[in-house]
Amino acid sequence: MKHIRFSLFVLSAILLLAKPIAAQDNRTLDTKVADLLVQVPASDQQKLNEQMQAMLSMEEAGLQMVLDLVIPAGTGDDTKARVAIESLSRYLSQPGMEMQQVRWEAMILKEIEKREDPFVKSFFISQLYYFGSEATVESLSTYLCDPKLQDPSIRALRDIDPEEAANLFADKLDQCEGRMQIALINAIAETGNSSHAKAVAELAGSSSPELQGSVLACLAELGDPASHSLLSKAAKETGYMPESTRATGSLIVYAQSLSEQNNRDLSLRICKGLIKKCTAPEQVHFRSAALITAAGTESIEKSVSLLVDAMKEKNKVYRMTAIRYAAENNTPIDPWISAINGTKNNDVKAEILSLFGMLGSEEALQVVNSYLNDPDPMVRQQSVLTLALIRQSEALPDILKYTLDYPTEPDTRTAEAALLQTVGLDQLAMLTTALEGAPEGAKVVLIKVIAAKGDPSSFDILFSQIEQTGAVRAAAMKNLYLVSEQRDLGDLMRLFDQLEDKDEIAAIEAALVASINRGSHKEVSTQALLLHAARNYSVEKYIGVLAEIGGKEALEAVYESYGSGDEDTKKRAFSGLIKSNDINATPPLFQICSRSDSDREKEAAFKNYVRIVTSSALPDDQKLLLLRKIEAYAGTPANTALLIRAMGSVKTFLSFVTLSSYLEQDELKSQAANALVRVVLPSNGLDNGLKGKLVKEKLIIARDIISGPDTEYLKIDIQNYLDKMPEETGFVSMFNGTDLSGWQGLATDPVNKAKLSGKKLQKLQEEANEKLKENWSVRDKCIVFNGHGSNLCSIKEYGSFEMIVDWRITKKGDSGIYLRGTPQVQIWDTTRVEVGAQVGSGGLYNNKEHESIPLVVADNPIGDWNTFRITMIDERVSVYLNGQLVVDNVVMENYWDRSIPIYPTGSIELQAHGTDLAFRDIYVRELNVDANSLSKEEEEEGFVRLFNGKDLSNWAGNEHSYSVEDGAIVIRPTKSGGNLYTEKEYADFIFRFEFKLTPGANNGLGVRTPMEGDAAYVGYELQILDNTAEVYAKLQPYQYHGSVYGIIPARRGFLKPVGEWNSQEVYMKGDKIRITLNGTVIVDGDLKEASKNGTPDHKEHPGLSRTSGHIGFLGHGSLLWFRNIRIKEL
Amino acid sequence: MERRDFIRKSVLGTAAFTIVPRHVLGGPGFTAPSDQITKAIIGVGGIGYNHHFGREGRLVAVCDVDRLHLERAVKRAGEGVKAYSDFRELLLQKDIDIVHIATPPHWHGTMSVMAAEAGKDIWCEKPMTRTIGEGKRVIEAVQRNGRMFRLNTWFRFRGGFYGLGTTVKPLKKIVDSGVLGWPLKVTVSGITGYDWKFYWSGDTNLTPEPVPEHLDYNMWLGPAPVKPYNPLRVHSKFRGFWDYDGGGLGDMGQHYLDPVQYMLSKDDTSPIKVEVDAPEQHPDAVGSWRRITYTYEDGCQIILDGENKDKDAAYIEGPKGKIYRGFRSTIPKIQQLAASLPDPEPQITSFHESVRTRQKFALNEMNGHRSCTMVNMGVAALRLGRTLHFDPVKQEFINDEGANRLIFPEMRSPWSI
Repeated sequence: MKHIRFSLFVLSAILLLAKPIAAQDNRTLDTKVADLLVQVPASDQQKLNEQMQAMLSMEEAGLQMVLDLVIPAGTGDDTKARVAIESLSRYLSQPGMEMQQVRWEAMILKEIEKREDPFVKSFFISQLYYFGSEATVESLSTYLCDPKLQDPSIRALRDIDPEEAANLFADKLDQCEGRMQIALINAIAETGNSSHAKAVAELAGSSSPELQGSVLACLAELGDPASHSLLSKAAKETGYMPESTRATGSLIVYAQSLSEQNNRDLSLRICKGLIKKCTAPEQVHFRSAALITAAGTESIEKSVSLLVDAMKEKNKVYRMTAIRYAAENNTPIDPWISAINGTKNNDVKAEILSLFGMLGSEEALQVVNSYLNDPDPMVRQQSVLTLALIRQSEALPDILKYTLDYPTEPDTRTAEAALLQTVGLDQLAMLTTALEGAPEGAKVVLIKVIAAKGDPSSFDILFSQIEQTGAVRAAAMKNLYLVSEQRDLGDLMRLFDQLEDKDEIAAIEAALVASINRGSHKEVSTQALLLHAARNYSVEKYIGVLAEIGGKEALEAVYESYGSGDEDTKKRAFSGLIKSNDINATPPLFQICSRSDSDREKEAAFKNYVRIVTSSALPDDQKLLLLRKIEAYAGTPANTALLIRAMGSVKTFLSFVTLSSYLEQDELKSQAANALVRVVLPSNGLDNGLKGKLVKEKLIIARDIISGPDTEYLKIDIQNYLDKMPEETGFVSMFNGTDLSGWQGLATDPVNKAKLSGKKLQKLQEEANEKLKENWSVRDKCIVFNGHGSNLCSIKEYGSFEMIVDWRITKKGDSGIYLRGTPQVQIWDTTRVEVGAQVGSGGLYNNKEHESIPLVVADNPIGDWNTFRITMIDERVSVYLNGQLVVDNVVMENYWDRSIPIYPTGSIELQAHGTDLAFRDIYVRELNVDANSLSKEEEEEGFVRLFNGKDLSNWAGNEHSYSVEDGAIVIRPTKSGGNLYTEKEYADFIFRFEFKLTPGANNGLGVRTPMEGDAAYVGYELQILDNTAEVYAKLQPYQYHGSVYGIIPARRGFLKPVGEWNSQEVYMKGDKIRITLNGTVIVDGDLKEASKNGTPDHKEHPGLSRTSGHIGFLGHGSLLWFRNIRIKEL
Repeated sequence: MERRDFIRKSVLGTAAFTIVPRHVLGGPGFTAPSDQITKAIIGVGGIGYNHHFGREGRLVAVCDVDRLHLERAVKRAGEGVKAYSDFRELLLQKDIDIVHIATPPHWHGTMSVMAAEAGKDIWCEKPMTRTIGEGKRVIEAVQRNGRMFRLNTWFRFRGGFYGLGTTVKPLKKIVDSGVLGWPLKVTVSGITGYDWKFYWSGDTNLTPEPVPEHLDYNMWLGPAPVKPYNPLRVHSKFRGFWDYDGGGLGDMGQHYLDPVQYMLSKDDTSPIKVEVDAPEQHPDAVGSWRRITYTYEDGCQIILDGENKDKDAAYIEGPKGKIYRGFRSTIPKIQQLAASLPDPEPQITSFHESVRTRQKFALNEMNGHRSCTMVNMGVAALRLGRTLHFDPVKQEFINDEGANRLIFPEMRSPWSI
């Protein structure tokens, strides 16, 4: 299709000012609308503005086509049209758009009238929410009694012209009933137009509480003095109690409205009446509302006296309403000072004191101070807090005095809160000075506050307080952790050694932990602690500390105490281990789980092992290994279920595989299915879902099993995901778990293999296969090797691939994975320093020139399983070991013949190397990186490759818009689209390529075209288009995919679903053109013939006379991919 | 609509909240054991059923428009708990002190106002209201009737604050101390520890389906416009539609932004400008966005970075220092510094205490409305696809009629507040 963006841009500027058609825009209207909608939704504000300008510059017929696309819900997809329409309405609602609104408003109004479906009508009415003029008012008024359109019409009308709308609403009052009448009443209330009060009042007295309530609320809002008796009577009849017409509430709102209209006398009369009448507890909110309405109506003086009077009342809710109202309206202070001095009610005193605090009033300070020694504790405390609020740190001397004077509960709590609020580091010295000679209760408060400031220099002062007794000693100990640092470790350990009291031990444990954790050299501190403990034979005592600081050494020490200590020690060690969050606690927990005699211990160890692994920062591969390790010790189905849930948070293919195995167990399949779905579906808007045939198959099974709240929604998500999943094979198993099908013995090395004749090779292979049976076998779903013989080789040969394999070695173990028959991704026991194994497994051991040593040591202990994820693309290899990258895209050298690169294909082999080995879960996914290579047949036929899969050599033109990703040419949507041409020109040819569309995608294949100009006219354009997009529903036949644009229409219905690869062949010889899409001929024509009576699109096609030119991709701002492009010249 | 100004002066008042800790005013004559405070839950689907069922207060009534939800709740609640399908009837039950509103957001404003007028105290889920105008009316009704209101997010006073690895209190102390300088820039993104939950996007082009017999769809919609029923509009999926909520921004925004307003001492004001970088939005379904920037009059900024573009973003950045995720900072020993500073003004952090003593809860109708206004400003800018300017005093957009039409749209009858 034609490019649009550029030309539109030029046009829009003119069109905005002038008439709607410009001469050089020769696109058909259909095309323009389609071009517009394909850009919806705009990706950003700039694009949106461009799109809006494009719409504004469109002739009416074009906009009408967009409007026509809106259809009733459920009859097709009109999303893009709706988005474009609403965007334009919103766009026009900004300042300065009044001129442009007129035309759009008229069109929308016409559309509302024309349409039948009420929801479609509503959609168009809702466009007028954003703007609208008299025309809208006139037009929408006809829907005010339409049950389906009344609500949206009212909404639009009320905002456009409240005055006129109110008249319209009132006019229709007697033409509607029920809910619709209520709607009009509510709307009149919102307009505030009191001239309609009388009309509304006539509807009062209805037996429907809903209608009666609306009438009262509306009259209240309008505030017409004439409504008084009606509202008063209605409220009176309810006994001023909450009920369904809400009459009393409306009466109060009415009083407010009167007050605003300066009808103060009537307003006050109502309020004061209510204050008098509403004295029951369930009426307190009416009374409160009446009070503050009256307070807001009266002069300031009288208002304060009303509020102060309220303090005489018994009901606290009522009093506090007065206090809060006073606080929020900056009431004068003096009447409140008189009030507090005049009352004997301590609650009221405290309430007024809190008011002074909220007001932050300095004038009240004297009064506040006078209550600091009040005999009533509540009054006293409130005065302290108020003082702190008003004077902040300046109040400190008074608060300190209070702290010392009232050293008992509950004053001490108030003292602490007030001090925390007023003391910063600068005031700390005042506190430490006060500490000496303070009464015990005050000391406790001071210690807490000093500690809370977290100043390490306070450590000595607090530490010295430990020499005291009772509550002071306890407080000093308990708060010491807040100021302990690394340098305090020695003091703390010496103190700790002497302690016997349980609480004291716990307090100093916390201080020890803090001093170690806060230091910059945690390992050094841990060492010091361990050494100290060992020297004093008191490791047991330090168990709690060690467990909490964590680390390998500390937790090993804890585990040792668990094994060797007395009952109590064992208990504490166990409790320390299960409470730990440190991954280093998992080996001991595993030991306990697998060995303990106590079921209770086993259970706790299992659960916490799973918890720690799940919440750890380990890579997912490693998490899964650790979870699988404890699988056999679950003991109960409940524990296995727990494990399954944990696996649900591990997003790896092997996690999926493991969970799949539970899908057939009745007791666990529901848990497994839910977990499996979590693993497979992409998370949080990421593109990390699992794909492939196996995944699809199991996901369908899981979908039918899952249960729980909102499962139905999840099932929809699953279905969407299944529908969108590309048709790729994904990982397939290389090992069926029961025998060695798919594997064979190692006949000979590749160099020798190449020299041998078929017969000889076959014999060698047979011998090797025989020998294999002695050394390789299958046990417990693992492939095991007994330490003799040679490699186990895949029968299938692989080029580029990703593989997963779990492996396990014994002590001194040595093995590896051969890729394409070549050694090897190394596996060995890292303790074999003599051969350099300390570098870890996973390296490309035989590399000489390129890196052979792994990036990190990521091996698990001997006897534990390890996971390799190996990717080999062309000659480069990446390896993840237990989730850590150990080989990063390194060239693998050809061990057999170092003069040449590694072979393009070969078998995957498990290496035999003289020690016992085991492998499990071997999966491989072949990578389609050679999608751009020629088949043998094509090569022989004389095809050449035009795209090498790596870069744009052979191509010219707009190379900014096109780039190479994953072996395909991709065009990213840019403003200008952009064309990419072959460097060479071609006359007669067979051109083959593959392409992948996105929804609504539009591109074109230019043939026999020059590099300049519009290929569709100066050469030929073979359309590339997503025919299924709704926006292209009304194109001309010669505009759909495959058509020779404007000249020869193509057959439709042979494109693969959007997102899948299509293959296409273009045969051009002389005037003959034949296009084959996915094996079906969709064009078979003659260019001369087709244009002899003029082209179907009635446009000039100067290109018709061309016999050769470039071939090119013609971008129109959509995202597409191309690959496997080859050509044969005829 | 002038009456709405009546309480407005208090809406805009800058008075500090009440500050008295529990042991002071809970004194003689007014202490009630917590089991004497009774509550009802409106909306027992997801949040109402899972988060608030057994919490503090004695449950006496539940309400839902989906019979299946209601039956499940009644079964769990046991005997003596009344079940309603119309919340207006529930509000007339005399022995209810607190009404917990756990419906989708498009109901929050209406129910809060009606609960206040029925003399109930209110515990409302976030976001407080779906429009700025509804929020103003909630304030008015709550204050006029002397009600206590708690908005249900809590980070400003409790709990580890997402990726910050700390409560908000020390952050507030640091900000208040001025050590970071002024103005400040706060970035809320994956980098600083937040998740904008873009998967709460709505589905477009839904096919009308018959309403299941157990759901009162008309009541579910309430004040929202009528649109054909589809299961993907209701229950846990409502978050993806403008009519009921606003996606991750609408639903999590107040969670993330309320503590920021508190830290920056902006509880009585709003930003003056909001800018969006986002794709065009659908009329009905909420889509994603890349960046939303709020600017206050004094130059402070809050940036919502939806694509985690700023990889080195600090959570709070000032001219003199930065605080990163995990409470790391360019200021040495920041935790110690925070501890050493005076505590901020105390807040009442138990709603039952607030109900008993009639002192404002830490997060109440006033500051709750202000943090919700941030969300609603962002939603307006996102829907309109343009920068909006806001007058924090009048609480209106400046020179933008289209935006102002989103402040208080007429509700569907019979609903009106």
